[in-house]
Amino acid sequence: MFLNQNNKVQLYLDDICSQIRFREAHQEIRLEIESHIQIKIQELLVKGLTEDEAVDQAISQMGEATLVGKQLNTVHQSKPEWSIIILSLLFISLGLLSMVLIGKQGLSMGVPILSGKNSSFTGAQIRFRIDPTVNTEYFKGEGQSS
Amino acid sequence: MKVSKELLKGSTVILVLSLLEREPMYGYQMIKEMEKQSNGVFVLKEGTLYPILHALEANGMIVSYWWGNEGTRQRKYYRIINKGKQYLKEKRKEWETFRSAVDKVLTGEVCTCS
Repeated sequence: MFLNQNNKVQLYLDDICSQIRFREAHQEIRLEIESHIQIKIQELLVKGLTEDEAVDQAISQMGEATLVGKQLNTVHQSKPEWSIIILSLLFISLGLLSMVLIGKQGLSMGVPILSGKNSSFTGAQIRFRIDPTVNTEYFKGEGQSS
Repeated sequence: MKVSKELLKGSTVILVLSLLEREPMYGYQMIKEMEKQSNGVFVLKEGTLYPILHALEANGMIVSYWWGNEGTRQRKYYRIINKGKQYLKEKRKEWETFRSAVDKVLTGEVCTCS
């Protein structure tokens, strides 16, 4: 099989698979339909068609790729993994619960950044610390280059 | 003679299952068999066979497996299982009822009423 003709078959298979959202099914569908097309090509070659004609006819007899792909897509829907969904929901609710619990007790334990007036104070401190260093470095650089 | 697509649509499933009831087959083989046994009346658009087969497998009517001799290409075979056989039985009954009803109307057998 010449590369060019094999490419036509691969492109046809690409077109089919582009319609199928469930990726795990792609490989097996490709193998199955490719094997069908290859038998067909062999049969047409025996009948006396040229390789080009045989490939084109084999592909056209399979039917339009988008249509076949769409029909396959309706069959191969990924099933929802209920165990994982339930587990995730469990963890989310656990997380929310612990947030509420820590939120209630956390303030009374006196985490400084979270509590009241202190927060704006620390915020100001951080800004004060960062801004001047950046600015001075910048100006130092400017001064040296000129 | 070619039969219209719509007619084939409804009966494709029962035809496919009947073929598989005789022996496990791969897709290409089924198309050839169908053409042969119906004297060329049923010419399936080959690509549409696979969605049907995959749907039947997803419904637990048939199972598939890859098989091939050493040196030959591996092929995906389909085999009918119990649920498929049961379904085919029901569909055959339905088909018989439908067919005999059509026959009666076409041949005017029941027209003793007039």
